Amino acid sequence: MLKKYKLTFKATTLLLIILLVIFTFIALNVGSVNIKIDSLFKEGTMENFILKKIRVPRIIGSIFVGAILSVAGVVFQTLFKNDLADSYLLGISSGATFSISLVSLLGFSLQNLFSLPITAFFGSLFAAFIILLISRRNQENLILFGISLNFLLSSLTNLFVYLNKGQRDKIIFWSMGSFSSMTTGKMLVVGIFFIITTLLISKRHKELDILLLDEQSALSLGVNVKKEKLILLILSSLSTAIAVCFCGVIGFVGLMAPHLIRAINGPNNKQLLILAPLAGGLLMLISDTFARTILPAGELPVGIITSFFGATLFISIAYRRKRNV
Amino acid sequence: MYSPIKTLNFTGGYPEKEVLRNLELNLPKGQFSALIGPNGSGKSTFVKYLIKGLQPLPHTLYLGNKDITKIKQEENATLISTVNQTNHLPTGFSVFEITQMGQYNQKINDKENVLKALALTHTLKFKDQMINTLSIGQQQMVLLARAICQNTETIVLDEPFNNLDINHTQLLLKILKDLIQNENKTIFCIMHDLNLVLSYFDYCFLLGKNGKIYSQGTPEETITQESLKSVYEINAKFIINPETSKKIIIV
Repeated sequence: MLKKYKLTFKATTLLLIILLVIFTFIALNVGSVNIKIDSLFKEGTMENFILKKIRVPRIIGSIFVGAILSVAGVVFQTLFKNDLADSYLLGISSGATFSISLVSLLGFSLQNLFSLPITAFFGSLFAAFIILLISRRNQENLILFGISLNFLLSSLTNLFVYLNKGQRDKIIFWSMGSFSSMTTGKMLVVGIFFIITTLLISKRHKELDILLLDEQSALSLGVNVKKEKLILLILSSLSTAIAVCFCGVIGFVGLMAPHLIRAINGPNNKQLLILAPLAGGLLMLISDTFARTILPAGELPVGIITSFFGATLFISIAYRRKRNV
Repeated sequence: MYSPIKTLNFTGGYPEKEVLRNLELNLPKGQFSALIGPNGSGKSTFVKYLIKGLQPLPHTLYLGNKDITKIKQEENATLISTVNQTNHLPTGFSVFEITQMGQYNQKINDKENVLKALALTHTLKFKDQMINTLSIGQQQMVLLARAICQNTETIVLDEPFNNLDINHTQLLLKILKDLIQNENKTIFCIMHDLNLVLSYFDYCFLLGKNGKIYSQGTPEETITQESLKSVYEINAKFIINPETSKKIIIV
């Protein structure tokens, strides 16, 4: 009998967890200040403060954000039956920054840990519904529409941020993403939402598998297609909003992680929803560690790194596929 | 009288075009029935209503004794399963996994039942193969296995013999007959090949161009020179198959 995929589910899970642990240790050690890991247990020192208040939230936070974006990616790819779909490429991430920049231009303060995600959620949901309506009319060119919507919403975001005096320097933060402002509080909010939305989405893994079929088959098998799509769209928009509102738009991780896992372990959504967030967290952690250490002084926006690798992958998938881009 | 699918003055179609009018149909239980009619007479549209892809008026379409507008999607899938004409089969799923999707409506994971369904459709040997590596004919059999897995009283097949070679056609006919005999299923097929209907089916509904049922009964009674002239606008002649003494159309 032919073996289905290169690695089994258990082996892939184990491998990803080991890699996550290794890279977490590396990431704790590297940075603009040289710190030994045992400072974590030496209370009162400056090294201890940096580790606890800056590096740990940033590292764990980046893993959560990568994970939550990957779960959203899995859902969008299934909903739109297009493995190039992702919150960034569909314009759903910039929907979130669009509403944040608009609301803060109007003079509302978004300092609160919850007002920011809620504002972002309305924007991402708005963009997701536009994409859903387009997908009903024209499935073929969905990604093209998504990329255009992304350009439109991010240009509006940039406009609103630019008009908002005192915020101009944040354009780069919102459009290319950064974990530099990660705090323990933000890390916990992302972590909690990641667990809740991922559990709610994972409960629907059978529906996700069936939605990969055509609509008639899904109905015939007993899936309430409209209702399930709506629920999944809301959950994945929420996931996107949570990721974007604290660290800006970070593209392509939601595309890369599921794609990598499908190639190794297959498209089964039950397993994908466990493996893709692990892989996404790992990719994001590695990208962010590069972003904050690659320059002798200062740091790169993390989106530059994820977009570089993600866009390369995108081109190679699109090239092989020829259609439906 | 009980019938698995029943319509009362059923009207259906799309906002821009009404296709089916005043349809009165009582599907006989436990038989091999066909729905025939010219292209565009609304046969496939009717299947969409059966799976709640389109919403009929209340009290016009019943599955068993239940008004379909009062049945939830999941329960609907326990009353009727379908093998559709066009299918999108995602890459990376095995034959077993695709078949197991038929158990979604029952909230169970019964591997033995999946294997039994595959055995009934002669596809057990493919169970670990990827669905996309199978031929169209083999895929059709797997999709029937998935419908069997839904464990419904009635299976509706939309032009199941399209794209099948003569060998797979005979195989599918035998499987469907066996399902009626051994598993107490009711089989309802949308058909274009009238000679197959004449040779193998128990009962037949002929849809006219106006969206009403022109005639119904045994295929012998339904498919006549007169009805073919009136519905399909052809002058047909019949010969008798000396082996089976069933009618064969020659045009």
